[in-house]
Amino acid sequence: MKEQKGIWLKYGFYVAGLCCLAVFILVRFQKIPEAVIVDGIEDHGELYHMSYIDLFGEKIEDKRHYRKRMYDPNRDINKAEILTFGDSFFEFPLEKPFSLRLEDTLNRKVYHANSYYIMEYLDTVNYTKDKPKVLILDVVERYFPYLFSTKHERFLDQNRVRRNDLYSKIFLEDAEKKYTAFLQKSIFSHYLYSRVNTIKFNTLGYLPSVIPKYNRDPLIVFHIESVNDEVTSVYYEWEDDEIEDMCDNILILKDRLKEKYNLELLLMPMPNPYTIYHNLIGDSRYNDLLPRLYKGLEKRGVWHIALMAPFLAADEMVYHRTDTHWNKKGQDIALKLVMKELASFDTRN
Amino acid sequence: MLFNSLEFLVFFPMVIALYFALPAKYRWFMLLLASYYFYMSWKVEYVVLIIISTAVDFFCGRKMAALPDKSARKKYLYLSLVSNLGLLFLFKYFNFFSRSASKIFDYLNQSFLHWNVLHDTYTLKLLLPVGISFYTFQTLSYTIDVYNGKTKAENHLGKFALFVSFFPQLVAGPIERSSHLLPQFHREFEFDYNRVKEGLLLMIWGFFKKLVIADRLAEYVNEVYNNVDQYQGFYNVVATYFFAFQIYCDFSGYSDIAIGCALIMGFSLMQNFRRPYFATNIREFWGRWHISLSTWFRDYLYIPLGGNRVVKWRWYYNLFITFVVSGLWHGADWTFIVWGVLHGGYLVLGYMTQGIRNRLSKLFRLNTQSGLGKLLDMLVTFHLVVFAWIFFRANGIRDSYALVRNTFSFDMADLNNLNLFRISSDWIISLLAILLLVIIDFITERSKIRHYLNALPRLMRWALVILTLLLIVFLGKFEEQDFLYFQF
Repeated sequence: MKEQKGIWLKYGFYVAGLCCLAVFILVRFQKIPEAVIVDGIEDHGELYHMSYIDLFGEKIEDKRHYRKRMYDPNRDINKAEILTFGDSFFEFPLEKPFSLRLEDTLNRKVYHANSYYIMEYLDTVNYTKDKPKVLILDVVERYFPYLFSTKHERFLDQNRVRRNDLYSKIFLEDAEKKYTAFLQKSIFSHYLYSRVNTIKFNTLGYLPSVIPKYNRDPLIVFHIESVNDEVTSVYYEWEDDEIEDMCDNILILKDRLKEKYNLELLLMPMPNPYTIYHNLIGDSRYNDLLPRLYKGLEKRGVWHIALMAPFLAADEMVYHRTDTHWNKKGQDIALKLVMKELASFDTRN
Repeated sequence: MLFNSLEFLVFFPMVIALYFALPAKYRWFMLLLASYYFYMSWKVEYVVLIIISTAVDFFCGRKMAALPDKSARKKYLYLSLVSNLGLLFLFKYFNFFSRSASKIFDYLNQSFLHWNVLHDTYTLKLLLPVGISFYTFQTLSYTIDVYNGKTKAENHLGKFALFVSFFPQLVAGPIERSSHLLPQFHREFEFDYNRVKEGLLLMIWGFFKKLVIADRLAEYVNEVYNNVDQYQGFYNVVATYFFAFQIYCDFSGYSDIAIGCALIMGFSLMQNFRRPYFATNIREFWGRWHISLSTWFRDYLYIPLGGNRVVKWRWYYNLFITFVVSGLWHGADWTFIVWGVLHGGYLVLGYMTQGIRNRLSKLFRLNTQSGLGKLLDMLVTFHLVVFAWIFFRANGIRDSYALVRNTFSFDMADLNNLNLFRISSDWIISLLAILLLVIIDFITERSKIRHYLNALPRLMRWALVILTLLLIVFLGKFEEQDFLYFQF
């Protein structure tokens, strides 16, 4: 009897071992093969992907297909009339990219690069100084200190060159992330994973630490970076000197771009969703980073777009409720303001 | 690779399946590769340190075995000691001693010397290799034992390398002795249902302790201990009690998983915890807490210093110094030294006052062997240990001082403002989990829990296992918190 019992457990280990070997190999592909990914899983906000809780699972149409056009290898930066740089707001896959909307509305060539490191990028792609052109830089509010504060500046991971040889495949650097993605998205485990998280949320109020705050009506979820104890948070108490320092560094960037490339910097500080909607969850604390930045930029004559007031005044939500990025309405407001600024630039030049 | 990671969840079944599928004579090789992979998935380069330790100690062991005269073996013992402790010093203690020396120099200079000298603190930018304190101690015990003729030198380099790097206990123990573990690598283990079952159950219990209890309590503890100026009184007291259970569940949970892992493959690792908070005095506590380390220090430091077979003051000194070194082993910071000093002090004071306490007990006709007497002893011991944990957990001496000071500034207003410990599901689960742990430890203290489980109908046993798994899935914290003992 014991022998038989032993056999099923032993074979159980063999089967488990083989399954794990399959997973071990699968996560080492650049992208986990589509055959094992749940259909339509990408059509959700990123905050759903950080929790897999049903309440946050509203569908958002995936507009990833625009990327092909945005990153068409035939695009030439030197032929573009407008350049856009920045973070994921210009990159966001669930809306038509801002650079393409700008291009289609103005009927002028727009070149986009998903990078904060403008000078290095322009050097690398051999951008040649030409007639005055506009470079629009989007920086989300919470990353200003990382980019422009002398005290807090840090090298962002995104520019690091990653190895892609057999060695790095075996000793996968971000193995845990990839296994988690597999667990969350694969047809073998997604259903169970999202069920467990939803039950935990409904019964125990469980929330993953990356989304510590949310509001049910109207539904909106917030990311931790805006509400933690770090410098990215809306609670961080900025000294006037620190704000001045950031504005000075932005001015240096503006002057360098003008001098070296004849590029006119148009800075678009992107408010955190929490900055706009913190009142919804009864939290009145806000460190006034954006208004203070606008003031500092104004003082230094740095051309910028102040989105905070129009976003606050908007009659609809300007962010996706389950994502940290803007929705079409938010883009529309920004687009309108950018167009106005570009028109004034054209008249000036 | 952490035990509580998905990476391990994928790695482990692969290793077990391969282990049982391979002919017995090739298994050591597979385990060695798996162990190196396990270590290298944390930081590839640092495997070199394990290889150096392995090579040096294998060489020293072989050389010593060939020499009949103990004095002739000495140079190889020194070579092993210098290379292992040298690596440990370089990676773990150099910066600490350099900074401390610099601070002492600054103090002396400002107070007495008044030299007009500028100096920089020289520090190395080295990452502390995970588990270095564990594997260097394990491999050191081998060379010391070979030197003393207590164990034979290993002839098989591969199996010796496996002894140094065996993945279940590589990064956080139990610190095994060569005489116990090495011979097991020469044996062949068949698949044994009962053994495998026992190993799996132990692993499940270890995961429960780590994920459901330790990591849940960690949230409160971290909040208070990382913001010492914001909390006082009640908060500090609760956080410190919670830390006592957090560290116990964290470390004993790790040990259970390690022992369970090894047991599935047939290897028996030494017991590392025996319900430490049931100890009735500090000496007993150290016979129940991190047993593999305390016996290591007993055998390789305390006894060579003379143990208790010396004059009284020297005995106290031996005890005290052993605990100070033990504190330093846990971390390169003054807080750990204070923690060691406290435990050494408790023990020495305990022995010094033994006579007086016995006389007082007689005078007041107190029966220390009664249930109530034992309970009182247990409570006193527990609170002494808990007090010392403050220094162990605090982020530096300044913080530990603030914590102790603020803990005793108890304010009733705290109770009206319990934002952090407000009644929530997390709070209730934490308390229930601690209660469950105490009950299970209490049962185990009286008799083996396995006897209770075996007495249950099979269906009930399965139901319990499934319930524990469900509790882990639903109540566990899966946001990958490092095991506390990884930093040592």
